[in-house]
Amino acid sequence: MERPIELARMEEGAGITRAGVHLAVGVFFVVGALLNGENLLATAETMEHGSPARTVCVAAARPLAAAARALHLGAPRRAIEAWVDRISAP
Amino acid sequence: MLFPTVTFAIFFVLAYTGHWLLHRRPLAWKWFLLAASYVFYGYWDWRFLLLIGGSTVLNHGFAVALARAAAPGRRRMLVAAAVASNLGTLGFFKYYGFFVVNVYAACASLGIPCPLPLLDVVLPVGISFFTFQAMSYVIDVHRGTIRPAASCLDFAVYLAFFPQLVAGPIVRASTLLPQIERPAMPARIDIGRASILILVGLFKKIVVANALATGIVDPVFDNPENFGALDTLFAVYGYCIQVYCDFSAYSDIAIGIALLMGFHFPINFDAPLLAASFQEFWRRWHLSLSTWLRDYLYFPLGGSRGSAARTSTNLFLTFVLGGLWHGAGWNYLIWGALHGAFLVVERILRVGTGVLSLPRRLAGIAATFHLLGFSLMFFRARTLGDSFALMRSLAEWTAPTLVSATVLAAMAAGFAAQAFDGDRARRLWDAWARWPAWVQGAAAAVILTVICALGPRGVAPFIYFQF
Repeated sequence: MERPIELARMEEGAGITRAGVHLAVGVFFVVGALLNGENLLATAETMEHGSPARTVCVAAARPLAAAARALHLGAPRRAIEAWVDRISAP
Repeated sequence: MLFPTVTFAIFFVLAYTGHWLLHRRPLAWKWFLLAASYVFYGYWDWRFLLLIGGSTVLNHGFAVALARAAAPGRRRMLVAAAVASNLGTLGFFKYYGFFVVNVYAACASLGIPCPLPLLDVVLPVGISFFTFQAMSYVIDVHRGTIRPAASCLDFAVYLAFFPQLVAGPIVRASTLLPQIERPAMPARIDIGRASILILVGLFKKIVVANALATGIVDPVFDNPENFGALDTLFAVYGYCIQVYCDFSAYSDIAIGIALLMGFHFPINFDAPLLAASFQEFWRRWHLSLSTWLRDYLYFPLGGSRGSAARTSTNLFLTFVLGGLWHGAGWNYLIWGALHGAFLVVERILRVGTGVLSLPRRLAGIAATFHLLGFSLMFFRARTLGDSFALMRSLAEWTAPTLVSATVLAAMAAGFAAQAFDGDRARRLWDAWARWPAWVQGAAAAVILTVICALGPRGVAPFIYFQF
């Protein structure tokens, strides 16, 4: 019977050290949050008014959106969205 | 809490950080994982926690009692009680409404009052998944293939572990419980595989499944009488690809998230739309459910040990019950019965055995895909009447109105995404892992941004949440 992928990969020692993974995950969240900061805030603001989740999400997204605006990091996403709107218009 | 949302992103940052900070202190780590999983689940409705908590205590109690019981009669009684209590709970939440409606209809036709009360029973999200996990745990303890969990806490973490809690994969206790009981976190994490699984999963859900749902599937399936043959045909093709992308996306993201936390889950999909027969399809689709049904339903019914007629009956019954697992409704029952019938016919005609030449394989893939689409016309339609309306639409020729370049591109992308199933993307995983860690993180963030920008606004719930 064929060896399950997850076990085969573990035995091969595939991947990187845990410290490397933590760095990658950290960079992913920081860069991802900055590139999508304005959308994160807009999404958080659509959540149910008065809910604790909305309060937390808006509080977390507001500084990210401000940083994204200041550094124009939302431009790439806006450009792709404009392109999608253009090609999918009837 | 849906995976591709701001709320889950914040939750995951906290859960990931706490998990790695505490993993050297097993007791605190287990309590933390349990609390995180309960926050994840209770976010839908805190009352669901009573159900999963009750299921945890009950099933662990049965497992411990089974391990202590020596007399075969008492062991049989215990396992029967455990299965009955799990099926009873599942049956009440999932099938009570369906049962009462049909009893009402039968009583009304006979002119007698219905003795059962009409209750508005809320279906707890993911109940089918964690109930099946709990049942397999008790049955495995009964069979002697595993021992009961070292503590109720270990079992509680196993049953509620958030990546796979609400829509699978149905990870067996023999696979996940040892990883919780003896947390020996791996020195190396397969980040290439985890990253590709998560990113491809997000692409399949946010871009492909959502685009197909809004672009063609929902409009046609919700109003089948308004569309002609080509729109209906492409909506059915689209739904085959949508349901694959939607469901496999959840499994991929769950497996990827678990990998980042040092856990290993088995694969759940392996390019099912390339299956050349239904036997092959069920070896590639929702593997954790198909193997569950095989081990805990088909084999106990007798499997293929009896006559050909008995084997066919067992196969058919297994799939009818598998259909009903998806939900209470004649549409799911017909879907399961169709799959059972296809498998029985294949068995009789000996289809799918031996190596196929390329033309026969392509013909098999096309036939299986079309029969799958036919079965999904029942699975997806709101009513049986809608299923038949869809079939009538297939005979009415009108110019297509919804078959656009976007829909065709989404279908092609969804079909092509199967190239990442199984270990087909092994080279890509290894290539990804060779980049510096910060480049991996930044690249994943850029790809995520592109995925979010390509998808329609908002994220619909995963289809399999309702099961």
